[in-house]
Amino acid sequence: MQQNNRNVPDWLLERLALGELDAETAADVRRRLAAEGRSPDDIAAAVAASNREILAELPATQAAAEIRQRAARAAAAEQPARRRGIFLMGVPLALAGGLALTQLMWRPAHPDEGAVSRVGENPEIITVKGADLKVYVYRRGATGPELLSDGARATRGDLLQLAYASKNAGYGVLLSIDGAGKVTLHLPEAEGGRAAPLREGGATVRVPSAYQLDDAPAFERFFLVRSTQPFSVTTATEAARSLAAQPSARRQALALPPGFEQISLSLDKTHAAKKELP
Amino acid sequence: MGIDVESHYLRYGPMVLRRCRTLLRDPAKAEDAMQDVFVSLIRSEDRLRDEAPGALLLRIATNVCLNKMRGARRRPEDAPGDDDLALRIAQADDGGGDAESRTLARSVLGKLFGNNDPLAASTRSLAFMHLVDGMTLEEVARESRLSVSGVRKRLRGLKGRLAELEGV
Repeated sequence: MQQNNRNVPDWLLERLALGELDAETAADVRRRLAAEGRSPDDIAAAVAASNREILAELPATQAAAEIRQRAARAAAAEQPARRRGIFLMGVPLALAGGLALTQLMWRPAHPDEGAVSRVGENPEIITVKGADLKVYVYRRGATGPELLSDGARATRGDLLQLAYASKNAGYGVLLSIDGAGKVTLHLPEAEGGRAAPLREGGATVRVPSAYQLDDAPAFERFFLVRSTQPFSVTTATEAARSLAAQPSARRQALALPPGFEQISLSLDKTHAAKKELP
Repeated sequence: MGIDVESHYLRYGPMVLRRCRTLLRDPAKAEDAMQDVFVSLIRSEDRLRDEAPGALLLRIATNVCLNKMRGARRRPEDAPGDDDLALRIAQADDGGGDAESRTLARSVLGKLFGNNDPLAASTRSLAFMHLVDGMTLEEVARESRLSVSGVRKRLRGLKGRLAELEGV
């Protein structure tokens, strides 16, 4: 064996602490530590203390979710064509206009509502369509709020009110991406925190503030992301930023970790006539 | 069947993060690299069948960090406080801590992290383990699942290339 009079490398100390060194190497490391006047027990205690500190700083649930998200993004970036056109929009609504937002009623369930569809061949991304999770976009009109369906035309200056409905309990983020690649967070209002607790039971819940479309081209696409577990808003916003940067942003799903659900609704600004912004 | 990211992170995440912090010396970059390491693990989980996760993750972490350092055009000898790293390399080198080996170590750093680094990633990692981590050739070989002669040959090639580049 090659003689080594240097301190035991951290690499081997880590492996010793993990208990993954073979018996011969572990014995050699312990012998060298003893020669250095260091105790393997002290090393193990120091590693354990550092582990606790790091896990308190970066909890496993949060870190694992972010890692899975990053992995899903990487996979999505490699396979954009395979998902294109497969993402199913989930809000084919046609409620009569003129209803006050607070007085909205659910229309009867669509025949395929409630189904869960998987996007492309990536089992980590789940979209929900139907009555389970909905996002609503209303436009202020002369005669009252107008419910916009997926693909509806919209234009710069339109004043929108967003709402959601979730039958099941969970935590959610409502955001939008536009044709300029910008991501706008609507719920919760502050980025950097945790997703908002969603009201369960299927009632329509308005987002606190209205949203005015700007002059971004082509489209504005709203996503509602839900998980049964609390999650960081950045999980959704980062996925949105990643998607917004892609040419297929208008059609493709957000690359989210397993266990996340999403639904989207797009407004078409392709043929938009410009309104004057106030 | 995918790996259980959370359980792997619980067991190995802190170790990987310490490794990344040591190499990158920037908490935010280290955290970013740590996530990349686990993404790499997810994408090559079949490698877990053949070896202990700890060694594999440490090697992936080394490669990820070296790539990030190259990508950032960061040369360790140019950064404040990195004299210590160079010194460690010099002291760790086989020739001891003399001026010649220190020069070689600095050159090693430059070639390891320079943007025009012609070395294969695996060789950079081996060199780093030997020169910076201070592992013996046997230890490097064991942790990399290579033969000692294979490691020696690659590192000999590295030194030969450095000598050639420097006209030594």
